[in-house]
Amino acid sequence: MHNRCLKFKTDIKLTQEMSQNYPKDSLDRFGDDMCEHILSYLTLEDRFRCECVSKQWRRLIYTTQTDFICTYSQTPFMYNELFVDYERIIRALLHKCVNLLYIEIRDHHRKRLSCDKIVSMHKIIAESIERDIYAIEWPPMGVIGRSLTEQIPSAIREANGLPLNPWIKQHLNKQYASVKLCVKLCQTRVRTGDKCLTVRQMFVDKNRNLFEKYRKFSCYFSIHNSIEFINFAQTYGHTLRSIAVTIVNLCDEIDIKTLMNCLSKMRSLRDVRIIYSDLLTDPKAYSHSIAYVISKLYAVRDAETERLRERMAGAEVKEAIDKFNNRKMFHKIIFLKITERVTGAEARDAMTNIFID
Amino acid sequence: MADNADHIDGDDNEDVRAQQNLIKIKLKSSEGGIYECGLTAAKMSDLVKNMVESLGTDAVVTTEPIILGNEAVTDAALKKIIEWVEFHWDDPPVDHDFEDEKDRRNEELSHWDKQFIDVDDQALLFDVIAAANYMDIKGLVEVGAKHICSKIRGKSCQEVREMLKITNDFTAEEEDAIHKENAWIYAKD
Repeated sequence: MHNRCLKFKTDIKLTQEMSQNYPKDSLDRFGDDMCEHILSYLTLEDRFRCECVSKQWRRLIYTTQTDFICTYSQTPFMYNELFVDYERIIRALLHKCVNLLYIEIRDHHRKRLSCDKIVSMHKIIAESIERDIYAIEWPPMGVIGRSLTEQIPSAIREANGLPLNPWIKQHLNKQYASVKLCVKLCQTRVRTGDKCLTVRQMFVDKNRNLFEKYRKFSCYFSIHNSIEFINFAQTYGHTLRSIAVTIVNLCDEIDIKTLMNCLSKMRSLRDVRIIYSDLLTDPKAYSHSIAYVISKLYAVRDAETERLRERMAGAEVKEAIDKFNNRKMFHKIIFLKITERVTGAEARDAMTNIFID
Repeated sequence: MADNADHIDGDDNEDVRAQQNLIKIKLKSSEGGIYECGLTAAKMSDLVKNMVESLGTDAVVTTEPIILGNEAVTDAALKKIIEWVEFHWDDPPVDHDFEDEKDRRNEELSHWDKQFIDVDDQALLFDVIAAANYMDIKGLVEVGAKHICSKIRGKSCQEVREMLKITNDFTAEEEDAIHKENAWIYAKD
């Protein structure tokens, strides 16, 4: 699938050249393969710190670093540093970690990344286009939305859908223009705040088939981007493997039907996640639509649908989700996360409806 | 469709595995020591597993011990390895189809593994890792690698060199240059 970066290195072959010259209690006794494997368990921070231990280490210490997940909880130090000197860190990272495939920067404090910083970090990454970055995750666009809201409140409120205030648009375009330089991009998770620009900005224009390798997508779905979503589904529907859609409020049943219809046409999907956001008024209205998509997804596999229904009848929601998630025999996986505001009983009700419907 | 994932291999069956582990086979270290080990446990080593499969179980049980000719497989290392596989042979098999590889990499060692691998004699530790690598016991190599990395955590280059007895083959100038490049990472200390 998309993340070739995570596969276990199964070919650690014995290092025959284990030389007699090295004392037995010295790590120097290990050949490159073994040494590289051992160092692959280091944290990124330790890698930077230990680069100059020896020439062997310098050669091997970064090769197994395939992702850069910079969140406060994972790497407090680097996370803090990143906002002080992001340019140097990002450049060092791209320069040293030649096998980097995945970049994720989360801004939990929701304040530290300005729009300009994001755009310029993204540019730096996009410059290393030949490096096959496979996935990028940026902080929720809500951050931008929010800081902009402070600056130009009226613009956001007016802009109920597009066109947006030119200033916002300009910045967003910059960001997505640089995404478009990453031709090998296969996965993004860009969250928009209230305006859901993602789909439109990234996928609906001349660059239709730019992302040939695009396999995994997650987005918000709202009334504002249902048209874009249809286009997106048509363009990428035959190759997309995995999708996560968070349904935000403002969607009526017709929008949901549109979404489900699109999903049911995506033939290569293996992993579907439909996430209800809270503020949901009527879970049952949704469950009906979701029953529709399930019936579509499984249309070609009636026998399995039967088995599925049997399995699900009367089961607890949690259990049901686990089963869905763990069974390999189903081609498609549906995962419903029902967030607050919907009580357990309602959720169970919704699930039961889906499978009895 | 990957329905074949549900196939039941004789080896995957828990009872069979438990029974097979009652069968003892002999392993011979490079120093000549001969040690007994349960069959299922021993087969955690892909090297042993392949040998058993090509020779046939009966032959292995009744005849000569399996010779592990790599110099890292000392008596002490082999004893440690047998201790490890005898503890771990009934672990649930790793399912590579699920993408939990990353989680597993980041997972901390279990208490037992920590105590097991935390040996004072560094030569023995490296022997165990090298021997596990030779015998192709991925789980044990991982335990060793994680242990070493946990000891490296937070240490300076010089401390790491001293601890792992690594020769510094950089010139002072080269080392300085790298230090400068990565200066920001030391800012914390």
